[in-house]
Amino acid sequence: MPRKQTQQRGPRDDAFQKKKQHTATKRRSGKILNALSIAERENPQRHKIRRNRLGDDDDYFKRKRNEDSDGPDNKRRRTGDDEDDEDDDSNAGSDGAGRRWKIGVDSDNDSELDSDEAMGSSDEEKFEGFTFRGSSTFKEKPKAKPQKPQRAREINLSEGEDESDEDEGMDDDDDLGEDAIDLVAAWDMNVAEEAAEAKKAAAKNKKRAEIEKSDEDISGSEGDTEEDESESDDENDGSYLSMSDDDEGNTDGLSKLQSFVDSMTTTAASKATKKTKGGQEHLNPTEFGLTATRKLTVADLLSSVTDSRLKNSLKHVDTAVPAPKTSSGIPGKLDAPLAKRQQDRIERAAAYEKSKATLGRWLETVKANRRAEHLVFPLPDPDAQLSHRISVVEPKTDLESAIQNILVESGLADAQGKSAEGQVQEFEELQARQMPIEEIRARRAELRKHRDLMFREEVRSKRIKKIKSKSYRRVHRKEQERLEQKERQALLEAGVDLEEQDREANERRRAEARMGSKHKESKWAKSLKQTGRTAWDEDARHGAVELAQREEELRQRIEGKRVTRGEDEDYLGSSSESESENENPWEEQDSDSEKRKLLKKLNKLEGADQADKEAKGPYAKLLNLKFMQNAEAARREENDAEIRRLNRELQGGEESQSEAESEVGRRKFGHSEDKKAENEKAKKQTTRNEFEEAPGSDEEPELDAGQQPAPKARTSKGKPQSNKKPSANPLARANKEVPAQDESEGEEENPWLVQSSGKNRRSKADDSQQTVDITPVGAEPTKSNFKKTTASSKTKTSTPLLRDTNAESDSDDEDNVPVLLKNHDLVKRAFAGDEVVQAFEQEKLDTVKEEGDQVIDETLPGWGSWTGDGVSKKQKKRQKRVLTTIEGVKPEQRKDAKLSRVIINEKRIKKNNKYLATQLPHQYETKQQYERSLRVPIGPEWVTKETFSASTKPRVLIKQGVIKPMEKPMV
Amino acid sequence: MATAPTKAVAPTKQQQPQTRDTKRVIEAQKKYGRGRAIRTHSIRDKKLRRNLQAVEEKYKNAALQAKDAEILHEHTAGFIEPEGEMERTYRVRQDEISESVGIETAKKKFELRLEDFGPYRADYTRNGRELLLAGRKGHVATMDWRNGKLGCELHLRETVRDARWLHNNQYFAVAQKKSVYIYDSKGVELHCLDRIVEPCFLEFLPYHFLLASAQMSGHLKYTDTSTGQLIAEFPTKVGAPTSLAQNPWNAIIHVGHQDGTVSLWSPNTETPLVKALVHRGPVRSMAMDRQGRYMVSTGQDLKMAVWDIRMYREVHSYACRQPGSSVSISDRGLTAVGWGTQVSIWRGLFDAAAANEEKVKQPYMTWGGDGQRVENMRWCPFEDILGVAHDKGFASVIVPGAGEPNFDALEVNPYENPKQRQEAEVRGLMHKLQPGMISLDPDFIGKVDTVSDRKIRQERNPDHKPEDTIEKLKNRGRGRNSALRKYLRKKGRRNVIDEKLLKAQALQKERSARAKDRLNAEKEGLGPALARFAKKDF
Repeated sequence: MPRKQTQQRGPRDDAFQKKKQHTATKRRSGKILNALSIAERENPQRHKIRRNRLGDDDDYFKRKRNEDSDGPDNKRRRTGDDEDDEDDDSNAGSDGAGRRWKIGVDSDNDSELDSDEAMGSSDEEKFEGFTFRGSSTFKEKPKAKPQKPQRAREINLSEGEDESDEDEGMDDDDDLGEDAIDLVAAWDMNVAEEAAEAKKAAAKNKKRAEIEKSDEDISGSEGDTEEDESESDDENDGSYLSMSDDDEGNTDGLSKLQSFVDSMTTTAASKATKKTKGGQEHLNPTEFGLTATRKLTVADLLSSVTDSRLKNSLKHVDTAVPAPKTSSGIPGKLDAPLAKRQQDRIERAAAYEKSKATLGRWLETVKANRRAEHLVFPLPDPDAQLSHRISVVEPKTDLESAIQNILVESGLADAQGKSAEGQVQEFEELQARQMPIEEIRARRAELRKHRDLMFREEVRSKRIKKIKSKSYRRVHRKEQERLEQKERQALLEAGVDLEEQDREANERRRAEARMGSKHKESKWAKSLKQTGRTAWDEDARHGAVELAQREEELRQRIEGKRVTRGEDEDYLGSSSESESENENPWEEQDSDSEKRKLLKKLNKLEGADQADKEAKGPYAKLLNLKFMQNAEAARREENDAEIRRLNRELQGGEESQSEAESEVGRRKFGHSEDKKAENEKAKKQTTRNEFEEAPGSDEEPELDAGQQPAPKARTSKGKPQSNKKPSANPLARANKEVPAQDESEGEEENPWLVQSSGKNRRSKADDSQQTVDITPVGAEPTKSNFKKTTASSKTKTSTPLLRDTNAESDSDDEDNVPVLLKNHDLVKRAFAGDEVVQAFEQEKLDTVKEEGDQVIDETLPGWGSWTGDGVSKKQKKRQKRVLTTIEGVKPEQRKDAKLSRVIINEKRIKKNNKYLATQLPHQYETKQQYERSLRVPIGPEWVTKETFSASTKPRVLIKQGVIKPMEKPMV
Repeated sequence: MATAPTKAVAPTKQQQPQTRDTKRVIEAQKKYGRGRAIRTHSIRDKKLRRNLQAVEEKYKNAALQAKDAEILHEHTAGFIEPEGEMERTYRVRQDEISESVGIETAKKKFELRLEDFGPYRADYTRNGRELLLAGRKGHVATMDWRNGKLGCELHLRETVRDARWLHNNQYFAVAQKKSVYIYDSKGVELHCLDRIVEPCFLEFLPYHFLLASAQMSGHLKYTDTSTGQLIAEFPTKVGAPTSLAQNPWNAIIHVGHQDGTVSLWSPNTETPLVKALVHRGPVRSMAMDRQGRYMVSTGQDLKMAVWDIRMYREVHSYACRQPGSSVSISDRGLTAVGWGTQVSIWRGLFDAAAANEEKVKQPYMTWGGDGQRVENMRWCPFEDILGVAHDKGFASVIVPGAGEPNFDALEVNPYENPKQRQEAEVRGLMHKLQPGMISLDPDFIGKVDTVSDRKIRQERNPDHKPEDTIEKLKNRGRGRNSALRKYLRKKGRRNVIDEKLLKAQALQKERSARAKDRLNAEKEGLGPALARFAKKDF
């Protein structure tokens, strides 16, 4: 069977070569065949030896394999073709009639086209009277297939019955010209693009049909001339053939010749019968309905096989046979080729498409490189970037191999030296490679979720443990302590003093704490300080804070403060629970509350649990996973059991405790409340001390501003410099007279005076513009003290006091004005003559005028009118004035329009202009875009080194080495 | 800033790092982001959008990296903190501080008694290594104050009004009686800037290598110390200045005047950029903070004013007992005010102003009161030291938390060796900024010049037609001296024939033809006898 295929393909392959051959040789072959036919006619005896012929074919095939493209082989091929040539000759002969030729072309057309497409409007006109033979046969065919190329093949098959094979077609092409073969070759080359090209061909054919007529004539005349030429060539060819025959002189050639001659005679005999079948009436029908010239295929013989078993065995042969024919789906006759120019154009277009497609693959790479911020040449090898996997270590020495053996034996590694884990990993990787990426991703996400859920449970259990370990113990410890206290009480009553022992114990505890690592003098703390890690390390900072807290605590402890005894924070344990911070320390002392809190926490946890469950609703799918459920259920059970146990214990303890100490607790609670109140009160007092001005005092400055008698005037004791002021002394004395004053020491040094205490700046700014009211800072605590003592009769007491102080002052007007305010007045008076403000305002007005719109009078006196003495006012008025305005900055648009004490120059500074961009650079749409894009400086002084080097790195870097062009697209 | 997540994210753990991350980004942007980012969403041009997005990404990374680089700030600043409510930090005396600090720090507190040639003025070099003292009566000395090593000592025997270090410790300028002199570290006189007559204050702009000096006559002069040229001189026109200071942020020079105004100068304009009435009396001294946001000034009117010099608005005003003779602001925003014999140091003046809070009521620290009149004060860079120059010498005072704890050795290196100093000098000269770059807004460089941009845009507009000068000429003036005739007279004689000229000639011809017609018509109207009286019109 393979042989058959090659046989069938052989001529076609040759056709490829043939297209390159010169037309002369083709013609020559035709002549050779002619000569042979003549010879055959002369020797009609040895015809119809089919077996012989088949054997010859075998021979021929072998030889063809051996000698590939030798002279004899060529000749053989030609012998195969010669009948076709004869046929061609007959065709050419019929050219004169024209009609038959036309029919051939038409059928050809049909084979390549859809029946619809083939019948263009023009075609219909032309071929009104014709019946399409090809198409009719096509309809008859039982195995009609939808695809176009296959359809063509089927048509081919139908013609195959009358043995118009591709060889024939080739020869037709040969006759028509070499261009036709070109097209065929192109067709075969791109089998993949067949479908697309078929369409194109169809379009072409339409065109072809139109220009058919002219082609016909041309080809006809060509044929004629060719014939002439061939005749003239006859002699040469004949001689050549004979020469070659002589050269060979072997029997194979002879047998071939014989068979050929046989076939020729049979053709002649069955001419009449074949005529009905089709155009190839010269072909010789055989026993199996085959022409003699065609090679026999298994399929041809199948019909004759009667044995069922044999048929079965040959079945696959039958099916396989048509396959090669599809590839050589060329109908018996081809249409006339296009003009060279047109064909070239089509070829160019096709080539362009092709090259476009190939270039399109580079598009992404080019884009990526264009967009790349930096390019390095020579381009980095993309293959080199792949991480090289570390190959398994091969045992080299005896020892290693021995170990390897042991490992293999014990099942820790396989023979290749991979560990079990590695194998699993490899297997997984392989699996992953097969899976689509989405699935892998989904799986990963799922895994992550599982991990999250597990983590959550873990956190919960930790929390429970913590509650149990800390607060739980604390509760218990408190019980103990209470007992101890009772004992102590008893002892005290007995008359034994435990104070000293206690102190000693405290000392000891502190010493122990100092031994701990997180102590001020410890290495850790020092390293913290030295490296300044606290600046960036969160943990370190927390550690430091904790340390500081503990330090403070310790100090308090050593001082034996009450707080420490009550507070029972662990020295070394991590202190400070966030919950306890906002609660009253007094309350915390109570174990009841402690317990309550614990319970609350537990409840919360349980609640959270519920919430968790609900929250997990959306992840129901996840929960459905069995192992997840199992794991979680187990965890939860554990946690719940823990909680339950804790609860039970706590409640049990509470009951017993509440019975035992409820009275004490209540008493304590009440006591603590008292304390709290006291504490608050104290706090309030201190705050009052701290924030120097009481709410009422805020109004006072305003009162001052309103020129009303200031209730309090304060000043410091007076320094040597400030003694100059006349009223300072009396005031100081007045201060001394204030009964509750006891801390004027500090204020004494502070001569800075508060102006106002407005809460926001704007009001203050306004104040500062006026700057009239000044009250010294230092006196304020006094005031508050004073206020505290005489809260109700504030004004009453203060006014007489003031009166006292001011009794010695010079004038009554200045009675209520503080000293510095007076100073201010003095200052005002001192600079009164300067009129600085007026001058400034005037200057501002001038500049506004100067930089504003300027009107220039360009009138020339006497130009176009009379001037000089004696001109009436009316005339003067009548004179036209020429005014030009130069636009400037409008007064209301000035930057300093709302700033009374500032003049801002609005002139353009020309010397700065050379550092400005003259216009918005290309590509930027707005000024802002451009200016904002320059906002980060490049220099190393302003940015980090990394940023600097990144921003100044050149776009194209050329390193040493050979810069080769890219071999393949990289992206 | 934070982009909304487009994908549904698992609600539990994943978000936490994300939020922390965005928080970090926000923090970094706030501190190092330099303002708002570009809105890239609204850009229609794809390429521009991509580019700007890349730029934004880069800037974001830059901010993050800057934030991360904070690790390198190994020192932290700290102030004296009162433990209780009743404690006052200003009650802490110097001896208490020197007892409680380390020995090395305590050594930095010292006092120089120089009673003969006072009052003194002092200046530290930019890296804080060396100290320059200049007594009014002609005593000038430099010293490495940490080691107590004297650099050079000069007795100039004439009035010295001010002295300043130049870019490093190798040169200093002294404002003497008649002109400014420049000396080197050995005390050798290098230059005499005799174009600066009777200087009273000096100020050096280190990045521009400009020495600004205010004259008695009220002139402000800029001298380039790298080339020796006098870059600019402006008359302030308000008499002798009473103070001079520079804004370290934008290199603008502030000049205080007798009339209570402060004027802001750059070497690029003849007129002051801004003029503000700050005080009622002469402005005694001024100081600007490092970021160029606030100005603190003291005046003869017993006031200390805090101005926001971005808005030119007074924020706070304090009253003094005596006119403050000197103000100085440290790197970390401590403001020292010297008044009389006392020095008060204020903390958080600007924070309070920025946070819109009420003003600080108590000073952070105080010093003095020993009968030494404070002449001027300087903060030592990178140290918690305040140098107070008074009429009886110089005192170095420890003020915890004053100095910048972390220095950038590439910028100013307190521990530099001579080689590094030389390299820094060369680098500084190469990176020298031009005087034209000084502006109120130092970020103006590279911005779009709106005026020229508008002009260019107009020209590029296809509908825009250039002004036709000839058409303009046509309508201007008549008679023998019409604009058109004048144009032809001036330009028409040249051998260059261009479109303009042809047009003008055609116009002229047309005009003369019209005049002729009119004349003929008039002649006809008058009749043959009177035709001769027809008025010839040009």
